[in-house]
Amino acid sequence: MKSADTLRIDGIDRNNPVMIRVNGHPVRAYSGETLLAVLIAAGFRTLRSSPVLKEPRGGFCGMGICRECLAKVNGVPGVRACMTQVEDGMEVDLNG
Amino acid sequence: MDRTTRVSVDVVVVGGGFAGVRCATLLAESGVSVCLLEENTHLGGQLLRRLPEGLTNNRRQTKDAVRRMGLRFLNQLRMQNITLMTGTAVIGIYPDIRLSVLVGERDVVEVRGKYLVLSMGARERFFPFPGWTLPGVISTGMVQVSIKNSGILPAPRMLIGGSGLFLLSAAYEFMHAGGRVISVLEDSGMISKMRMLPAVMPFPVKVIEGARFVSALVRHGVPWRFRRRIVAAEGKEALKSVVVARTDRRGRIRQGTEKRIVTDTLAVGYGFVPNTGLAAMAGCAMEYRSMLGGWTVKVNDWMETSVTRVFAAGEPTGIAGALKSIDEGEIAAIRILQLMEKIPDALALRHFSRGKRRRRAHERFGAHFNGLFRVPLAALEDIPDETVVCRCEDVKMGDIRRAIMAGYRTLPGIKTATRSTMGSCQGSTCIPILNDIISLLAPPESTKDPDPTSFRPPARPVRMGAFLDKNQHSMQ
Repeated sequence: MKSADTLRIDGIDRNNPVMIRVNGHPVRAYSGETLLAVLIAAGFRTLRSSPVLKEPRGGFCGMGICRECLAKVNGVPGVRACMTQVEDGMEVDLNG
Repeated sequence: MDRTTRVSVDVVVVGGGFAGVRCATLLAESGVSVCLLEENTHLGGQLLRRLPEGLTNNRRQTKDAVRRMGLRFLNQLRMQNITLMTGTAVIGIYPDIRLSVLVGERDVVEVRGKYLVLSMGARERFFPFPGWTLPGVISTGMVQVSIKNSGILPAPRMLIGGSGLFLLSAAYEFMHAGGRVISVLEDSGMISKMRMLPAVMPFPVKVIEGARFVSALVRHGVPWRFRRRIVAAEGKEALKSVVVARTDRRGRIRQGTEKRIVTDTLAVGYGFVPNTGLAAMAGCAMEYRSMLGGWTVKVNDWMETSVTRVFAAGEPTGIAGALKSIDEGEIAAIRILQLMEKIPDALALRHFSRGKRRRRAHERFGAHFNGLFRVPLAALEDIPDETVVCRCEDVKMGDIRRAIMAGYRTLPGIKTATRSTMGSCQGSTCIPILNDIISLLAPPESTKDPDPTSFRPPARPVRMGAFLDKNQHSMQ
């Protein structure tokens, strides 16, 4: 299981642990966290490839503008990971 | 919210940052019905990002006077008379103040008002370099969002580069949360910074804030370097190293000064751009004010745009920070209350003369700062042809140079020739860069300003299902 708590900042109570699956791998997260932050904490930096040049891309603006962090979430393509809070049982597919 | 709802109010406020919240508060207090639309789940805009429900902060809070002031205003917001719609996006503005609002991913609600206040804030400005699309190159805004909204560091260690005091703010937050900053690389020169003092003197809050950022860098032994340009980000699958060079007075790279810094994370930011797209869609006249961030919504002293009963407040009228946003939100509210005959003219006039004075001071401050931390246009000459400019459509600097050489000298022309701005972010990231490229390589003959871009609904990509009839939709 990919799980890195090294990037989770000390001194924050994380009240509700949840499990999501990223490309089939279980990843632990906490409700309230955005999917983008969870992916970074779990070591998923490349989220997709660019449409024309097929170059690797990851989160960039972090606030819903650049649309670099699009992922398939629960079967729905083109969801902005940075604007989505994780939920227990969430299924995430990255094409990167 | 019931998906069949149609909302009809006195005033629709788009954007729940400092300007929108202040405006909505004053209106609602006077018994005016307000619909406040905000794309994020929280109110207070970029400055009041905080941990959501489920995450509780026990850390020592960073002392931030502007933030405290914002929280104070937020606490004054009473929900009486306010229809609050967070997590929503305005996708269309039509005549007579009718708005299409996307709720969640798939429901469209119509919101109508007698007056409209546009306070969409600002977004970050970027300067392209080879490799800025690599995973691991992030915006300074993303550093703040990751820490403040999720309690997660974007990396244990990073390099920060670009231009502006926001670099220091990102470094400060990152270090406060336990991250290590390699150094902060400022594109502009240091000597010019001494000239900022007269402009900040009327705003002691900002002087204190700046001093706190700088002292944190000193305390952590983090160098703040000037005239350093991020020249390239290197790596195959993700960022591995960053090439930095010194620049001369004109902002051109000094060849031979390149240096490689090994890091897997680089945060970049180059100031801010006003969010004017929805105002353009509403038909508001625009004004190019390069010192206030480029294209701004043209307003009069009462924050009225060129369209009747449509107002703009905060960063869309020019980049100058939170204090300007608060004052402009107030002015717009007072003007609407006056037009609705909720307050006497004499009271309104007193507010206006004070507001006008304060706006001038904010604009002076904004212009001064934006000018000090502006990457000179000449720097665009040094961008290699292979650099991606439009990230969504993978359009490169060379494609844009060729289009300009072929006679496509306006934004719509470059758009047609290269597909830049036509991707999924709808030009949010590359339009400000393209405007600068046009100013440098293809300045219009009559005026030095580039053409404003037209903006049509939908303002962001929407699933087709959102436009289906509700009954059909629920049958799917």
